[in-house]
Amino acid sequence: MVLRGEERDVILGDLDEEYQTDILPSQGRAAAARWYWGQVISSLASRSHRAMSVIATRRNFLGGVGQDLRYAARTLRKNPRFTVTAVATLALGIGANTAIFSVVDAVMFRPLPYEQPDRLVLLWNRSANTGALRMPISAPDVADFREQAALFEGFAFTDRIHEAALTGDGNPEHITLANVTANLFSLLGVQPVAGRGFLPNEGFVPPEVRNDSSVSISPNAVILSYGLWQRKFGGSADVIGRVIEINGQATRVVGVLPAEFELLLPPDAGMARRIDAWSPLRIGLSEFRRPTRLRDRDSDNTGAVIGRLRPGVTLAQVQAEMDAIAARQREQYEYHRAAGISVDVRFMHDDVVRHARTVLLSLFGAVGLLLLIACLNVANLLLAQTSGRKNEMRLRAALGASRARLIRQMLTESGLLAVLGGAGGLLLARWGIGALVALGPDTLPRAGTVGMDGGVMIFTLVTTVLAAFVFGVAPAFDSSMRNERKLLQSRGAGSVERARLRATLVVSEVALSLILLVGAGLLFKSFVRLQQVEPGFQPEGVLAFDVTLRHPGSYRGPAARSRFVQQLQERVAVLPGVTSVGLVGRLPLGGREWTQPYGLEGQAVQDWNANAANFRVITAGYFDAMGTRLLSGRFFDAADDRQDRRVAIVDETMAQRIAPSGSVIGRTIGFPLDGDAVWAEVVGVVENVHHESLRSRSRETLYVPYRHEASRDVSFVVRTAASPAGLIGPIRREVQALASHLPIYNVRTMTDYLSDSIGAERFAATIVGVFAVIAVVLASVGLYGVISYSVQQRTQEIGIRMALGAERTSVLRHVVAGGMALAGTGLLVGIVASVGLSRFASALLFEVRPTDITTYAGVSSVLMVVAFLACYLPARRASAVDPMVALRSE
Amino acid sequence: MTQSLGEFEQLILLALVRLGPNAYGVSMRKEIETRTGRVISAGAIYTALERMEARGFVSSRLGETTEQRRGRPRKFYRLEPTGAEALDRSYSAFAQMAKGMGPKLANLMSEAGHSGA
Repeated sequence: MVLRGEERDVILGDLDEEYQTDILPSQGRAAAARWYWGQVISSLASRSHRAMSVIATRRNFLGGVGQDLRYAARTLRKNPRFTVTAVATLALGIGANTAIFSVVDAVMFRPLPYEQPDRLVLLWNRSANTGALRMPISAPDVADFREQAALFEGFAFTDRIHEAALTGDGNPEHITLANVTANLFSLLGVQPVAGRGFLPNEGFVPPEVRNDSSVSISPNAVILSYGLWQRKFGGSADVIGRVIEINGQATRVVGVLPAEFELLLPPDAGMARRIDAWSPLRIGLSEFRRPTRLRDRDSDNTGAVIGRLRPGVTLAQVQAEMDAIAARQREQYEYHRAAGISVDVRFMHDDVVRHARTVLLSLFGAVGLLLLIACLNVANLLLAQTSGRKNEMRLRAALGASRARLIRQMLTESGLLAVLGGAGGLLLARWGIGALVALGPDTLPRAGTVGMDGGVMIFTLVTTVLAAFVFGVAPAFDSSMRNERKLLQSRGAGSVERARLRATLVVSEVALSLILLVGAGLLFKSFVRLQQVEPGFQPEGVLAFDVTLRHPGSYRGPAARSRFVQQLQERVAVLPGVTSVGLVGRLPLGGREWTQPYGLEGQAVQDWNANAANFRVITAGYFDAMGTRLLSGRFFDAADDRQDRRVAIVDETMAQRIAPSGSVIGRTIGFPLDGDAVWAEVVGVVENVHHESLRSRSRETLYVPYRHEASRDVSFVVRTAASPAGLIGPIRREVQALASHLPIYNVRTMTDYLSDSIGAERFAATIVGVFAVIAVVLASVGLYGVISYSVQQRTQEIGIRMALGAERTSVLRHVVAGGMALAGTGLLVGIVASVGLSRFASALLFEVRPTDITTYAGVSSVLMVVAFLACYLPARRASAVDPMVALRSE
Repeated sequence: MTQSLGEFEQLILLALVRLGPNAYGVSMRKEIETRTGRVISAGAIYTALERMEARGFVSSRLGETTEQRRGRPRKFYRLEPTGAEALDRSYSAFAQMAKGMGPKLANLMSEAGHSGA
């Protein structure tokens, strides 16, 4: 505060005393609060000046500002068209900025919603030999970390998500279940809203108990998400302690998480957005299988690792410690040595938002440009206005108003406009935020927390003030008019200066809107290119759904699962409209990897870890259903399910690796299967499929029949001649009939699925496109205004010209040429600026160079056409002027 | 040789005299407000008091705290001899100038009322 300690105490004490004894009892709480704050403000005001006359001058000063405000309000009221246009323009610019900022703030700036989040880190494995940079870490490694890492307070590990079924009463409901170390919630500092968190060793079953068949194992514990608690259990408190059935296993509910809790991990950690239930691991971390050169790093023993640093420890220190631990692991374990495993430590906040950073910051930049254009537009409008107020200004100056006073008046007007625009902007932003979140891609982290909070309000306030300054300064200085002489001239030289100022503003607007147009054009082209990428399958007419084959006593072993899958396929195949049915362990474009080491002919098994291929288990009908082309050889058939002779299908990339020249059919390829090295004969080659995303080229892919490594999580693919959506009901019925305890989930058409996978790019292109359109509209309105005004000013001159015999068309041409010159200058400046900024854009683009000629040419033409219209309309009015009228006007 | 008191300062010192040992921020403000109708902020009154203390017209001491004041003390002020002198001089000057002016002032007021100013 402004006051020294003792003075402050005395004054505050006085205020409290008076508040309690006099004000609060006699007036209401609201009036009392108003009194209190009024006293605080006036005390501050009087203390900040030493002089006694402070009271007198304060009244004068405040009175002066009040007068300015009233005057400004009256001026604005008298020019409704101007006011409405200016306020609307500002509201648009400020609102868009506020909306984008709230998203950026919630997603990127706000700290993670955990306790002391700046101490949390994520750990990843890196493989020097295969080049993989962000691999999940295997559970036994985490046990090693816990033992050896001294700089950490603790580690938590979360298994990949399991699709599970909540069975028991009624239809089985699909839920997502995460198996985590019992310390996860205490590490994050999350308190449950009902019940309790996990106890330190909760759920753990010691090996001797596990192996003793005479002892029955007590039910595991589970903590529910708030959403599941409300949905399935009606939010009733008696769910705590209740035993529910998950995948047929009895599980006891011990707690419920808060509604806003979300385990925030980057998308490539492979965790689902929504996790319904959490259970602690039943076996110790060190008891998980270690990956060996033949055992793959499959989903059952790897996961995300969160660490909490001890206070005062730096990232460099822990990275060094983890480097040492990883080096020890490479010495100790063959797998780590062969694959060249090391550990990367990153701050959790950084890691979670990094993939969204580029897009969001670019959007922020784009919307900033939009606000700048809006401000320039309003400045232009203000300048146009002030020329009409020359008389008023002259009068006031003659009456003794100082230049400072006049400037203050103009700034007050600008301020009032800005405040109105800001208020309008807040309203627009409210709507805009909703639209942004709805349109936004699923990968936008923390989208649920986007909203207008204190930080956003402050941002809006600051933006409004800055905007007022930007657009208010020039007109204010201009209107106050430096030279006394100019004041007295009727059509002063000031108007030439002003016209030049306005022209500069318009050129800047055009330039800025060109930058936005170029950005939008490039993003759009990029998006179109992305959509044209051949995914490696034909999505039209295909429906997909997932099933998890998990139930006590059922689906044990590949044979049983394979049998079930075959039965289901047969039943679905006979549904009306279905042309083919197939199954795959993991659909393409899931964003998740499933890779295995493999070996080429003659390669020793030790060297297999230097290779990594996408690995997929499929049934015979899969490629037919997906529409993936066969390039040579054949698809799998029923005979291939035999164990004795193994077969495989490879994609083009793999075929190139196996046999750079010559036929690959009949060659063999090795891969690990349940810890053994097996060799398979290549019987077919298919086209490349984008398994991770449309943007990135996939690594080589290996397909084997489902029968051999039958995973529990599978995706069915059904091709139909009719509408895919119509099959959903019949398919559910077939699954129900076959296995009533299995829910199906993630039911969607492949076209939707494909389109969702490029959601982020679509989002960016749409938003920037909208901005660009608004920018062009604003710039052309600005241009129209300037031309219109100049025509008006030169009515007399035009009249003279026409009276002297000039053709109407030549007048037209003259005016239009003048306007196009302005637009052209703006275009050139904009192009130069865009090229200069282009290096920042390349990360966002796909197969489009930031200096793509076609895009530049295209948007330039669009801008020129719009500019032409903006010039032509007022020009036409000019040429329609009657010379006699023009000559007579002043 | 000593400077004169401003109007505001006079009011404060008069309030000090009236209130005697019970003169602190709240009581003085209330006294002035009740008698003259002028509302002053706490900050303004302490500013003036501090300046007068610097000139030696008044002295201050910290008093007890109460629960209502949340543990903050009251600051009591006392008129010092130099202050009393200054006040007396101001009072005399005003009294001399204003002697017998009561009826005249009343006339002036009613005239202003008639002319509708």
